Amino acid sequence: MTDVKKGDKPYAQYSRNVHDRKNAMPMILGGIALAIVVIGVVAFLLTRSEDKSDTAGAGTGAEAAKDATQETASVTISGEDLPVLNLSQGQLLGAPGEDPAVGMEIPKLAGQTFDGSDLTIDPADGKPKVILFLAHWCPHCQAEVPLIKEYIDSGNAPEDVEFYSVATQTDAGKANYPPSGWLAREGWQPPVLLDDSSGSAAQSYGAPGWPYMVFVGADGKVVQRGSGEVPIEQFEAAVQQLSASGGAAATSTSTPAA
Amino acid sequence: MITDTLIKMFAMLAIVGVVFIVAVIVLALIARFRGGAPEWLIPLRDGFSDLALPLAFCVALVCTLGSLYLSEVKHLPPCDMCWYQRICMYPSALILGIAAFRRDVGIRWYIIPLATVGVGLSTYHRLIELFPDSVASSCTNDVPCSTVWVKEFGFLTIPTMAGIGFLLIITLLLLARPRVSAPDHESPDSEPRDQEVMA
Repeated sequence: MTDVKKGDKPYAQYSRNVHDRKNAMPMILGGIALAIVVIGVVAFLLTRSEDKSDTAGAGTGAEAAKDATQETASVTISGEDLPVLNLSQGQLLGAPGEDPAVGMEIPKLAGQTFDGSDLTIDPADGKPKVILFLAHWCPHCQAEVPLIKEYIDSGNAPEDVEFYSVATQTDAGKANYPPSGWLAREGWQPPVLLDDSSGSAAQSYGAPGWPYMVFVGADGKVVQRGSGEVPIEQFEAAVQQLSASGGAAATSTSTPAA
Repeated sequence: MITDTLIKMFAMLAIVGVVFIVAVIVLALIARFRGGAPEWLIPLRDGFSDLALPLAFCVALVCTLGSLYLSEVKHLPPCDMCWYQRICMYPSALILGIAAFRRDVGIRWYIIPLATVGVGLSTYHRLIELFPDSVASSCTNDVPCSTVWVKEFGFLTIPTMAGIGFLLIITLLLLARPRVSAPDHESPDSEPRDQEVMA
């Protein structure tokens, strides 16, 4: 308390601090409140603009997903089941020489889409196709879907190759439910076949995990299979080899497409 | 990735948190280098000192509620590492609430070690996410810790945000000081507190 004797304003230092504190606190609280409001508004605007549902046209998976009446449906499977895809650690696409399913005919899947209309994935329709099995709760599927959407949108995908997807492992208790909402939001173009609640379609195709993709030649036989967040360049190369017109990457001898 | 307004908000709050932590460290270093805090900084520093406990409580509360939101509302399954971090975060919310109410700055001796353990766990979890050497990049029905469920702005995953929350609590508790009740408790020299910040 030696300060007291030194000047005529003994508590000057103290009272200045008290004064300043009273001034700074509302400023800090106001700043925090303002920051939270700004963050809330920006977050709202950012997440709103991520809705791409309007970019998908009529007849697409997203269009059916908007009018969803169901998230799972019974599916009729005919034909021989494919063996489970066995990938080594870190491997995403199966090597055609090692996958026993290559050359096997895919099972025919007859079921429904989100809006209740019928959809069949038929090995005998004479068209090369890519079938993607997607789980709504899987972050790797969530990461892969926009990449594939962009690839289809870009127009670089061969015109004769058809894209199908299967919404599988659907579970109302898991993240990002329902799948219809997710795929509508993404503006997902490929038609979506609904798997049943026990995942029978995915099982018949030998899915080891999600996302799972099966590349099928025009003769209805498996050309290649893969699982995981496949880099889009590798995905594109796998699609190109299906196309009859071929592509830069279509040098595969295993392509049965004539 | 899951897109969600609240998750985006958590991510932006985390960025604000990082900016705050960096600012405090830089200013504390400047104050130490100059041998005292700059004049303009003192009211701001005092304001944050007085608000530190309630703010730390808010941080712990937001982290706790955010974590519960992710698992119970968004149905993201918590992995093992998530649970260990929850062990450090959830009690902090309650304890810091009581400490803020009682203005008990001594709580830093209990919460800072807990939050430091939390930072370690978050860092380890983030490394598992970055180097998922044993897990493929596809989903099966179990919950590996390497799965990245949320990734905002390209880097803010759930453990990253948790780690920032822990660091923020530590920073705020280091800034906190006992409420002055008499002038002789007040030191006009800012030296001692700057050292505390650095401690």
